Amino acid sequence: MSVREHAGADPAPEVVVTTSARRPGRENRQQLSNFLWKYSVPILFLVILIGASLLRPETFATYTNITAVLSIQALVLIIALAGMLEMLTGEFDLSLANNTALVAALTIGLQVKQDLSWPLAIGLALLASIAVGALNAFLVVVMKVSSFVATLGTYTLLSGVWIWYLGNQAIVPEEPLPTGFTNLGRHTILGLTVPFWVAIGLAIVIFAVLKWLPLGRRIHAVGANRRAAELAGVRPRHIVAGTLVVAALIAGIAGVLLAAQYGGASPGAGSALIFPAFAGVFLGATTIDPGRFNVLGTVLAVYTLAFMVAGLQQLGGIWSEAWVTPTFNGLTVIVAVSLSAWAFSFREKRAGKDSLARLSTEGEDER
Amino acid sequence: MTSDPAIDARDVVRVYGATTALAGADFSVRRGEIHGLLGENGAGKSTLVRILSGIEARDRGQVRILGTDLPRHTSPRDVMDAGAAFIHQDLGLVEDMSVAENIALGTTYVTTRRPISYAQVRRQAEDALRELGVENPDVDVMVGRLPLASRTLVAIARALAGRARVLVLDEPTAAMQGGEVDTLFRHLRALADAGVACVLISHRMDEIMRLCDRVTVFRNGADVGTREMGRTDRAELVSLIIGTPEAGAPPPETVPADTRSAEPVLTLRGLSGDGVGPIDLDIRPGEVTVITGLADSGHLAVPSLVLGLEPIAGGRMTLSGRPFAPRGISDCRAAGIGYVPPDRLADGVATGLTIMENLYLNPARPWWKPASIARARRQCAEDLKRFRVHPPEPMRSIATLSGGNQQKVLLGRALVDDPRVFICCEPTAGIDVGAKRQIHGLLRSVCRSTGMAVVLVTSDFEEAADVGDRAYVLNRGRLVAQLSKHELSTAAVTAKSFG
Ligand SMILES: Nc1ncnc2c1ncn2[C@@H]1O[C@H](COP(=O)(O)OP(=O)(O)OP(=O)(O)O)[C@@H](O)[C@H]1O
Ligand SMILES: [Mg+2]
Repeated sequence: MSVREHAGADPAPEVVVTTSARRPGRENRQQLSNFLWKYSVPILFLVILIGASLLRPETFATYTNITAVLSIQALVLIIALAGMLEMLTGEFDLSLANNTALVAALTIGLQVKQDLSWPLAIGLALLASIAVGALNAFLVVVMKVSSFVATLGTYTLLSGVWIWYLGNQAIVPEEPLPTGFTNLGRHTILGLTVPFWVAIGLAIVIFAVLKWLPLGRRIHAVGANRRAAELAGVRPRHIVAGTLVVAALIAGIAGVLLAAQYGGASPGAGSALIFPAFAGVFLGATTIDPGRFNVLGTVLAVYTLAFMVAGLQQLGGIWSEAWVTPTFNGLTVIVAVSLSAWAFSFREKRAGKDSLARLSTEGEDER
Repeated sequence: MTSDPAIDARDVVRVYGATTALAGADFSVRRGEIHGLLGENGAGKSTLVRILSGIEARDRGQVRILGTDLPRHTSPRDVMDAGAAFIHQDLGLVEDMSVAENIALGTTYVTTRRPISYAQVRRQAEDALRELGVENPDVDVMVGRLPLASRTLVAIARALAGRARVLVLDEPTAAMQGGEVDTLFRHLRALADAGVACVLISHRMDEIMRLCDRVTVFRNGADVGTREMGRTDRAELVSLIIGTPEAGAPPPETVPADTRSAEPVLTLRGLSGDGVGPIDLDIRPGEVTVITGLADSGHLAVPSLVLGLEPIAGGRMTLSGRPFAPRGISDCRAAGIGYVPPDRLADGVATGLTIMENLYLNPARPWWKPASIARARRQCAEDLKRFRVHPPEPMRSIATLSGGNQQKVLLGRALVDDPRVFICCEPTAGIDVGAKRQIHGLLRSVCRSTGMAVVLVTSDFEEAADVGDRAYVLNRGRLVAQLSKHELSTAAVTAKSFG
C-alpha cells in the first residue's frame, strides 16, 4: 500500500485560486509576448540569417559559408556545453579551453615527437584531460577551494605545461599526419565536418541526461540548494566531482578535434575559445528555459553569435577589422542578459496590471 | 501627534503576476498594544509585512507609520527612520557575518561616519542579547552556524537595538520552545508597556491568546475581522481563520494502534554524540513516536545521529534486527528512511527550481533510468493535491509559495518514496491551524494504514500530545522520560522536560 492512496482520506479544503482574467484577446496577446521572450535568441538567429543573406546574397547565403560557420564554431559549442554542465551544479571552470589547448598540443606532439600511433596519442591526451579534471575535482571537492580560484590555478598551470612540452614553438609535421587522424577534423558528412556532428551528438546526450534521467534532476538539485540536495539523499560531492571530470574530458575531445583540424600544434592554440563559449552559455540562459542554463539555448546562442560575427565580417570595410569580433560578442551578451532581466520584470508588471484591473471590476460588482 | 495610530494601512493591494496576495487589506495598530495577525498559509500576512517594511512596493492603498505617510515606492531605510523595525519570516540575516556584525548592521555600523569600533560593536551586540535573556552570548560566531532558534534571537536583538517604536515580528516563535518564547513574550510586554506597538504573527493560537491585546485575521488577502482579546475566544478566531466553524475535535482514529504486537524496526542502544546520550529508543511500525524537549535539550540532535549527519560517539543501532551504521542520508534512503529537516529554508527548499522539481528533487530510480515528463507532471499534480499544496501547479517556482505550503512540499518529498521509517523534524513550524490538522491527520493515517514508523521530532508539546502514540522526552541531552499513549499529555511533557 502506498502513502498516496491514504493521504487523500480527508475531504479537500475549499481552494481559492486567483488567476488573471480569461479574456481571449488579452490571453492571446500575453501568450504572444511570452513566446517572443522565450524564443528571443532563435528569433535573433533567424533575423541575422535573413538580414545577412539579403545584404550579401552572393557570399553569406551560400551553402559553403553556412556549413563553414557551423563546422568551425563546433569547437566553441563543445566547450560551451562542458561549461554549461558545470555551471548547472554551481561551479565555474576557467581551465576548460586551456585543457583543450593542452590536449591539442599533446595529440600532435605525441605523434610527431614521441612517434606514437595516432589512436594511442589521442588516448593518452584524453587521459591527460581527465587528470586535469580530477585535479580540479580534488581541489574543489576535497580541499574545498572555490572553483573559480581552483580553476584559475589549473588554467595558469596548464599554459606552463604546454610551453614546457612544446618549448614555446609550433609543431609543423614534416610528413603529413595519417588521414585516419586528420579526417577527424576535416572529413565531412552532409557537408558538415566531424566536429559539428560530435558537438550535436554531445548536445543531444547532455540534453537527454538533464531532462529524462534522475542524474539530471540531481545535477539541478545540487546547483539549486546543495544542502537540501544532500539531505534528500544526493551525494553532492560525487555530482560536482563527476561533472568537473566529465567537462574536462569534453574539453579534451574538443582538443583532439582541433588538432585534427589543423594538423599541427602551436602553444596556446584553442585557449581563446573560452570567451565565445562562455558568452554562449550566458546568452543561452536567457532563452528557451529563461533564467536557467540549458542545452538548446546554449546551442542556439553559440551559433547566433557566430553567424552575427561572420555576417559582420562579410560586410567588409570597418566591420571586418579585428576588434569587431570580441566587441560584438561582449556587447551581445551584455545587452541580451540585461534585456532578459528587464523582460522578466516587465512581464511580471503587466500580468499584475491585468489582475489589478480585474480586482477593480469585481469590487464594483460587489457594490 | 501621539494620537496617530502606530500603523495604519488602508486598502492595500499587491498582486504577483496572476496571484493576488493582498486584495484590499486594512490593518491598524494602536501605540502600546500587542496586536496579533492571524491567517492561513498564503493569506498575505508576510506580504503585508514586506510592504510595511518598504522591501516591496504596494500596487494600491495608503500606509501611515507613526503619522508618517509612506509613498508607494518607499525604501526600508525610510521606514526604519520612521521608527519601525521588522523581523521577517526568513529573518534577513547575513549568514557569513558574525552575530555582532549582524546586529550592528541594523544600527550604527553602516551609518556612522567615523571608523568602526569593533569593540563597541561587540559590546552592543552582547548587551542586546543579554537583554533578551541569553546568558553568555558568543557574538563572534557566524550566524550561519547557529541553530534556527538562536538566529531568531539575533534578529530580534538587532531589531531591538535600533530603539524602534513599532516592532513587527513575522512568525518569530515558529522555531522556538517554551522557555525562549516566554522570555521573548516578557520582552514584548515590557516594550508594549513602554509604548511600543508590537505586531506578532504566529500560527500558534495559544501564544496569540496569551499575549495579544487585539487580533486581526486575514483570509485570502483581506482582513476579515479585528477582535479585542477579552471579547473573543479560540473557536471564533479559528472559524474566522478558516472561514467555516471549527470542525471540532480531530477525527477519531479508525484503526486503533496495536502497539504490543509490533517488533521495533529501529532501535537505538546507548547511542551518544553531538552533546546527547546515551539514549535507548525503540521505533515501532504503525506508531507515531515523538521525540521532544525544550530548546537546548538536544532532541533535534537525535535524528542527526541516527541519519549519520553527526558522528556517533558510542552505542549502536539496529534496523529490522540488523546492525545499522549509515554514513549519510543516501544510505538511509536506500534503507527506507525518509527525512524532513527542521530548517526549511536552508536545508529543504531549492529556490530557483519549480514545485515539481522540488517534490521529486532526488528521484528514487537508478541514475540512468529515464522518466516520462508528461507522466511525472500528472503524477505531481495529483501528489500536490494529496499533500494539500496550494496552488497545486507543478511548474510554478517554489519561491512563490507561502511558507506553510513550501513545508508541505518538503513533507511530500520524503513521503513519495514510501519510506519504512519517516523521520520528520518540526513538520508544522509555521503552518496554519487548518494545514496543521491536515498534516497531523496525514502522519497518523500513513502510519496506521501502511504500517510506516513515524518519528516526530518536535518542540511543540501540544503537537506531541495530539499526534504521538509514545513520547520520549529529553532534557539537557539525556532521556528523562518515556510516556506511553495513555500517559501522554501536554502537561506531562511539560512537567518532564522542565524536571
Ligand atoms: N514573489 C512572489 N511571487 C508570486 N507569488 C507570491 C510571491 N510572494 C508571495 N506570493 C503569493 O502570495 C500569497 C501570500 O503569501 P504570503 O507569504 O504573504 O502568505 P502568509 O500569510 O505569510 O503565509 P504563511 O503563513 O505560510 O507564511 C501566496 O499565495 C503566495 O504564493
Ligand atoms: Mg508568511
